[in-house]
Amino acid sequence: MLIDRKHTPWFFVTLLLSVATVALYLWDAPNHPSGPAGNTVLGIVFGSVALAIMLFLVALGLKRRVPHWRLGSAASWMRAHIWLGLLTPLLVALHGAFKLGGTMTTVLWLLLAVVWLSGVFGLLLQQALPTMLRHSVRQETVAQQLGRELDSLILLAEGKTQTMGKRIRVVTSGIVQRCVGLSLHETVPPLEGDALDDKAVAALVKRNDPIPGAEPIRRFYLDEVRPFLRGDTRAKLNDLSSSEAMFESVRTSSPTHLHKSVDQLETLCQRRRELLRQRMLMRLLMTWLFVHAPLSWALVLGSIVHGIIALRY
Amino acid sequence: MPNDLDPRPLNERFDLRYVHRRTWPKNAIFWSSVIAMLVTGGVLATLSVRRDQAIYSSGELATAHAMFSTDCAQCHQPSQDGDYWLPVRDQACLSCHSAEAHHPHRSNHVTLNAPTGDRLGHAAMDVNCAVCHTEHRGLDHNLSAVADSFCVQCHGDLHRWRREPAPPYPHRQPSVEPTEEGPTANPILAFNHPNPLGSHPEFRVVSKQTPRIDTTLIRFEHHAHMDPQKPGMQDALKKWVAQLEAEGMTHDQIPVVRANGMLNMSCAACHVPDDAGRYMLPIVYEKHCQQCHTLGNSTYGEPVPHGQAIASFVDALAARKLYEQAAKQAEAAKPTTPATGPRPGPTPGPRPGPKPGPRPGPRPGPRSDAGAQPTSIQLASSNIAVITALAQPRPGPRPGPKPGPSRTDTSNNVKPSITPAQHFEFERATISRSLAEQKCIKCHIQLIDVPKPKRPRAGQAPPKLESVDLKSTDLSKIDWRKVKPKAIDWSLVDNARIEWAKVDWRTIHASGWSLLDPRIPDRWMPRSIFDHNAHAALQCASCHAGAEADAPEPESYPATKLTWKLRPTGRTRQIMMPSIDDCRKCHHPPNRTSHGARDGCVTCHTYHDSRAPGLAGHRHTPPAPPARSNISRFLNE
Amino acid sequence: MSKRKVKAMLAATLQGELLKPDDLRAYDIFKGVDLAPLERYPGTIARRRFKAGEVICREGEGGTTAFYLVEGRVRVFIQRKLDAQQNKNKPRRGGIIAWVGRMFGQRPIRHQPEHDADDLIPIDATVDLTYGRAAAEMGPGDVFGEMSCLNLAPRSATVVAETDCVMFEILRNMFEAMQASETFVKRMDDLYRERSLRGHLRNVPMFAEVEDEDLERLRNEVTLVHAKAGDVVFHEGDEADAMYLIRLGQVKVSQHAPGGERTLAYLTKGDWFGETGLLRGSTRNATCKAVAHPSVENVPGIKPAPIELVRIGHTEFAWLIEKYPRLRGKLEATAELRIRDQQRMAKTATITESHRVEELGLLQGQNMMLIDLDRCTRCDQCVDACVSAHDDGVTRLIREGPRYDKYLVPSSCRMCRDPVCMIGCPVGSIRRAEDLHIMIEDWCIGCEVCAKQCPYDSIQMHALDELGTDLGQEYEQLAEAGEVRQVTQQAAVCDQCADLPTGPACVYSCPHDAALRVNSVDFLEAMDVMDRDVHSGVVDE
Repeated sequence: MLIDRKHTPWFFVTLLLSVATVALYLWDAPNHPSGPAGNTVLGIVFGSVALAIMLFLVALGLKRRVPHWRLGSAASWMRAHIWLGLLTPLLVALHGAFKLGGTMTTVLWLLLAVVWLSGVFGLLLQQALPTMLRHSVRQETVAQQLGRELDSLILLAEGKTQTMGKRIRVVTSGIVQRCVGLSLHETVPPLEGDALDDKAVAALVKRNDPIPGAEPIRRFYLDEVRPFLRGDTRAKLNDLSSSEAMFESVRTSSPTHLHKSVDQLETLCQRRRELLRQRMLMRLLMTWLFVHAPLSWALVLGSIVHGIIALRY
Repeated sequence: MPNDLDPRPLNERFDLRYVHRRTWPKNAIFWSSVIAMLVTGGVLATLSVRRDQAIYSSGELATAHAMFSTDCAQCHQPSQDGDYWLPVRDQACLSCHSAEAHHPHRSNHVTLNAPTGDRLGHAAMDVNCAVCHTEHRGLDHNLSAVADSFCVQCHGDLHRWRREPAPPYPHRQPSVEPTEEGPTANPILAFNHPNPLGSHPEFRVVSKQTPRIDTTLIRFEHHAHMDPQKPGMQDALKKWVAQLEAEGMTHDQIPVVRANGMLNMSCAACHVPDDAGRYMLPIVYEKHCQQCHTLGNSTYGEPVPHGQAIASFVDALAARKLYEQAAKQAEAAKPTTPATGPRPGPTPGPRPGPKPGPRPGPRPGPRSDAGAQPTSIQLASSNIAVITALAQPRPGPRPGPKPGPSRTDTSNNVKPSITPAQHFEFERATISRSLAEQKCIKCHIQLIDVPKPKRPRAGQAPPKLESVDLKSTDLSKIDWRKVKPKAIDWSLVDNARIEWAKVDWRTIHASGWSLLDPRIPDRWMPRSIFDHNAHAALQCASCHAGAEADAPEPESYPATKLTWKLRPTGRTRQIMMPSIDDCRKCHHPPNRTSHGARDGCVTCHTYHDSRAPGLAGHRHTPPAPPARSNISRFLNE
Repeated sequence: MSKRKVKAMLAATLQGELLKPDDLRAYDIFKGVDLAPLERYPGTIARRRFKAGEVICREGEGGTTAFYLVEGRVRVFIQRKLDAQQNKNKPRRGGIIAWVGRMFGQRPIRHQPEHDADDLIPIDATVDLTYGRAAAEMGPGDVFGEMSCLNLAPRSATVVAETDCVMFEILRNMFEAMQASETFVKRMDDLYRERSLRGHLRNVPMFAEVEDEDLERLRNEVTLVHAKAGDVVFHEGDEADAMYLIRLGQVKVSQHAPGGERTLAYLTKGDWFGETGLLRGSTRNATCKAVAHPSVENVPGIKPAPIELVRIGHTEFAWLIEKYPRLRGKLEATAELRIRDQQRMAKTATITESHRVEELGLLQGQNMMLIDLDRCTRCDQCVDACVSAHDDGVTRLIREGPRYDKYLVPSSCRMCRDPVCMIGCPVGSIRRAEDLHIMIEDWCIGCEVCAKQCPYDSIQMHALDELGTDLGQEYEQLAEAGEVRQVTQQAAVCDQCADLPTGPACVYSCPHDAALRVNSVDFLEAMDVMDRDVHSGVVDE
C-alpha cells in the first residue's frame, strides 16, 4: 500500500489518538500510589482496546478468505490495519506502564516488537518493490504460473517429443527443433527410412530435417541454453552481458536465415532471466509475511490468554 | 493477446484451476500460522497441565516471599472452593502476618474476603493489604516501604473519611489556615510539602496548640542536675564515680563529663537506651535518683522506702505506733498480776485495711510478756489485730473496764468505742501525711491537698473510697472541689486529652498513694517510631535542648496556686522533645546542598501499630497471631 | 479462421450416398429448386441413414452441412444440465463460511440471470429449445444445421436419432441453390410460422401477457422479411413504424457518436428490436443493420447468408394496444430506458489515439480494468475476489496482458464499445444486459466462437468440471456409452459485478488501491494521451 493522500485522515486520527491516550495516562498516573499498571481501570481499558485492535488486525488475514463479502473495501481495511497497527505498541506500553512484566508479558512484548517491525518493514518494501518489479520485468506473469511458464520456455525452445518404440513422435515443435530437426535429441537415433503409418509424423519428420548451418545453434543450445533453461543457476546465460556476447557470437556463426531463430532463442533466455528476477523480487516482497502473519497469530493467542489469566488473578 | 512467444491461448498457457489451490506463499503462510498457533497453544496447555504458573507472574517476588515464587496459591486464594477469581485477599496475608488494624473504622474483618480494592484507582476506605504492599516488583523490592502517596490517600483529606463537611479548600490543595479542630483534620500531603499547609504539622507534644507543658508529676529540673557548680554536686559526683569504678566500669563507660576540672553528669547518666538502641529506658528512682536523693530514715530509724513499698512501710509504722501506744497504756494500767493463762485467740473483728504487706512478716510467737516490744518494723498489716489485741489488757476479772483499744464484743457495755480499724486508719493517714509533707513533696508535685486526717469518732464508719469513672468523664469540666475524697486511677487518663491549661490545679483532690505516680511517659511520641541508634552521631542536646545549666528559661506557663506553694517552674514543666524543624534539618527533600535523609511517612510511622492507642483511648484487639508450624507445613500450606 | 481455410472447407465434398438431381425430384421440397448446380458440384448433397440412437451431430463441433429430415424422428438437445434443473438457490461452492455469509446477505453473484422455463434457447434448427426442457424433437420436413452450413458456425445442439432416420446432408452450395427457390423459401417460412414463431413471440416480454388467441392472430398477421447482409433495417432518426424479431442471422444495433459509430449490441436469433416503433410518432434511436457471420464475412466468392426477420408493424399492433393498454406503458418505459442509456453512455472521445493506445484498443474500454503496477504487490486478491464473487468458481480476471504506461491491462472484459464477441454465437447465449455488461447464459455449448472473437483475450473457456456442472439427465446413457463427446468447457466473461452493491469485486478487494476500473476515454483524457508516447520514454512498450 503506497502511502498517499488517502492516508491523511488516518494519520491525523492516529496522531490524535496517540496524544489523547498519553494525556489520559499522565492524567491518571497520580491516582495510583504504586504507579500506573496494567491492573488499574485505565490499564485494563488500554489492554482491552489493544487486544480488540489486535483482533481486528488479524482479521485482515481472515477477510482475505471471503474477499467478496461486503465488509468494507480491502483498501480501507489495509489503511486501518497499517495505522492501527502503528498505534498498538503505544497502547500496550501505556497498558503495561512501560514495564516488561513477567515472563509471559515479556514474551508477548517480544512478539509484538517482531510483528510490528516486520509490518513496518513490509510497508517500506511495498513502497519500492512493485516499481522495481515493473521496471526489471518487462512482461510479468502470474506468480502461481511461474513454474509453468518457465517450463513452457523449454517447450518453446525444443518442443515436445514422444517416444514410441523406435519412433519419435513430435507432439509440438520448438524453435530449435525447427532448425535442427530431430537430431536435437542426441540420445535418440533419428529415424531413417522407416515406413511410418502416421502421415503426420512423416510430414513432421520431413519438415524437421536439419537446416544447413544450424549446427552451431544446436551445439550452443545443448551446451548453454538447455542447461540454463533447465535451471542451472551457474550457467553463464544468467548474466545479461555474457548472454548478449554469446548470442552475438552464435549469430555470427550462423547463416542469416537462421538469425530469426537465434533471436527467438535469445528472447526465451531473456524471458527466463526476467521470470527468475520476478520470482526473486516477489519472494522478497512476500517473505516478511512469513514472520509477520504466524507470529501475529501467536501474539493474539498469547494476549487473550494473558488477559484471561491476569484478570483472574 | 497471447504472449509474443507463445501462440497458445491463455487458458492453455495457464492452468486456470490454480484459483482453487492454495499456492505459495498463501499456503505456506497459512500453515505456518496454524503451526504458530498450535505451538503457542501447546506450550500454554502443557504449562497449564503441569500447573506451572510461573510464566504468568508479573514480576519477581520480593525476597521475603521468594520461597513461594512458584506456588501462586499461597497468596492467590479463592474465597471459597471453586471460586474462579483469585485476587490476593487479606486472609492470605493474615495467615502468616499479624497486622493490626490502623483505625477502628478500618477493620481487618471487613475486608478479609474482599478482593483488592484498588481496581478503582483511588483510595477506598476498605482497601486491603495488597494495595499498599505491592508484590511482584522484583527481588529487592521492600514490601514495607510503602510510598507516601498511600498514606496521603486518606490523610490528604481526612474529612472525606470522617464524613464531615469538607473544608472549603479543594482536594489536596490546602489554601486556608489549619483549623482549631486539631492537626488530624488538616491535609498532610508530605513530611515536607512546598505548601506549608500541606506539610506534616508540628509535633503535638511541642506544638503551640497544645500547652507544651510537661504534665508529669515529678519536680525535676534538668539544668539543676547538669550544673557542676551546684553546691554538693562535685562531692556527690565524685562519690558516684568512685562507686562505679568499684563496680568495674571503665573510664569511658562512666557517664560523667570532665570539663574545666569539674565533673558533670552527661545525659547518659540517667537516660540509658534499651537493648535495641531505639528508645530510652524508663527513669527509675532506684536506679537513677536514689544514689543522691535518699529518703532518709523514719522516726524509728528505718530508711524510708520508695514506691509501692511505702504502703506497707506506713502500715507497719502505724501498727508500731499503735503498739507503742497500747504498750504505754498497758504500762500505765498495769497491775502486778502475773500474766499466765492461755492467750486468747485472735479476736474476730473487722480486719483493718485492705492492704497486704509485701511479705508476711514473721509471726510473733506466743508472748507471755505483754510488755515486750516488737523490734521489727516490718510487720504485716494482717497482724495488726494481734498487736492491738496484745496491747489490750487481758480479759478476765478486772477491777473495772478501762478505756483502751477494745474489741467488738457482746458485753452488756453498750457504750460504743473507737474500733482498732478506725484507730489504725487514723494513724496511717497521719503518718502518710507527715511523710508526704516531709519527704515526698521534695520531688513529687502534689496535685492533691491531702486533708488533715480527722480523728475517728466512735460509730463512724471507715472512710470509703469512691472512684471516678475517668473514661467517660470530661475531667476539665469537673469541679474538683466537690469531689472529695476520691480515688482516681490516673493511669487511665490520657495526658493529651486533658487541656491542662484549663485545669485549676488546686481544685483537684485525691487520696491514696496512686497520686504519687509521676506518670513519666515511657515515650513522648507514642504514635511514631524512632531509633536513637540511627542518630548516634548526634549529641543529645542537638534535639533535646534545654538541659544545660545555662539554658534559657522557657516562656512562662500558666500560673497556678497550689496549697503547698510548690509551683512547678517553667523549667520543670519544660518538654525537651525536638520540634519538627529539628528533624527537618536532615530529613528534607533534595535541595541544593544535599539529598536529605528519608522523609517518607513510614520512616517514622507504622500503619499496623497496636501500641498506639486508638481513637478515644481505645486499644484495638489485634488479631491473634497465626499458629506456628513446621517448615514443610509452612512451605506447602 | 483464415479465408483460405474457409474456402477449403466450403469446397469440400461429402462422402456417402451422393444424390443426383433425379433422386431429388421426387421430393416436394425440391420442387422448383434449380438443380443445375448439383450437376456442377455433384458432392454437395448426400443421403444419410442413421439407426436409432446414433448421434448425428454434436454441439460445439465444427460443421459445414445442413440436414433435411426425410424420415424418422430425431431428438435435439443441449446436453448441459441447466441451472433450471438444479436447485436454484444452492450455490455450487459452499461450506460453513459461505453459509454464514448467506445469513448476512453476502451472496456471490449468480453468473447468469434467472429464466423461466419457457424462455427460449434459440438453436440452429426449425425448432427452438426452452430453458425448462433443453430438448425437442424433430420430424420429417424439419431442417437443422442451416447456420453451420451457411456460416460455418459450430453445431448449436446435439442431434440424436430416436428412430431409424433418413436425411439429406446438404453442403453450402446446394443449400444456397435451395434458398433461391421460392418454393423452398415458402416452405421454410411456413415451417417457421407454424413451429417457431409463436415461441419467438412469446419470448418477447412485452407479449407475455397476451392471450393465446390474440397471439395466434398476431402470428398470422406478421410479415416475414428477408434481408441480405449489410442491409440496414432502419436508420437512427427514421420514423418508426415496426418492430422486428430475428428469425435467423444477426443484426447490429449501433448509434452515432462523435467519435464514430458506437455499437450497442449484436442481436441474434430469438432477439427483438425496434419495439419503440410500435408507438405512433416515435423515431428510431439507433441504426439496425443486418450483418454477416464473421467467418464468412469478406471472403471473396462467398455470399453471406440472408438474415431473416419478422416484422410487426404498428398497424398490426394497433388492435393489440387497444386490447392491452398496459403494453403502451411498457413500450414507453422501454423507450425511456433506451434514451437514458444513450445519454449515460454518450461519452465523446476527443482525444487522438497514440500508437500504443490504438494498438491496445484501449478506447474500446467503457469499463476497463487497469492494475497500477507501482502499487500492486501481486497478491492475487483481485483474482480470489473474482472467484468468490461468482457462484461458479472460475475467475474472469487473469493478471496477464499488455502494459500501458505503469498500468497492466489484464484480461478482463472491457465492456467494448463494439462488442464483437457477441457475433456468431450459435445459441445466442452471449448477451448484453441493460447496463451493457456482457453475460453468457448457461446454455453455452463451449464452441469457443466468442472467445476467439474477443481481441483482448477477455473471454476464457473453463473446463466444466471446474464449473462443477453435472451432465444432463437426458444425456447420461449416451455419455456412459461413450457415444457422444461431452461438452467439456464453457465460456465465462467478466460481468462487471453488476449485481454487487459495492461494484466490481476486484477493485473492492484490492488492498493496495492498485485495481481500477475506468472508462478509458476519461482515463486517457486525464492522462493526456496526446503527450504520452513511446518517444517520450514514459510509456513502456
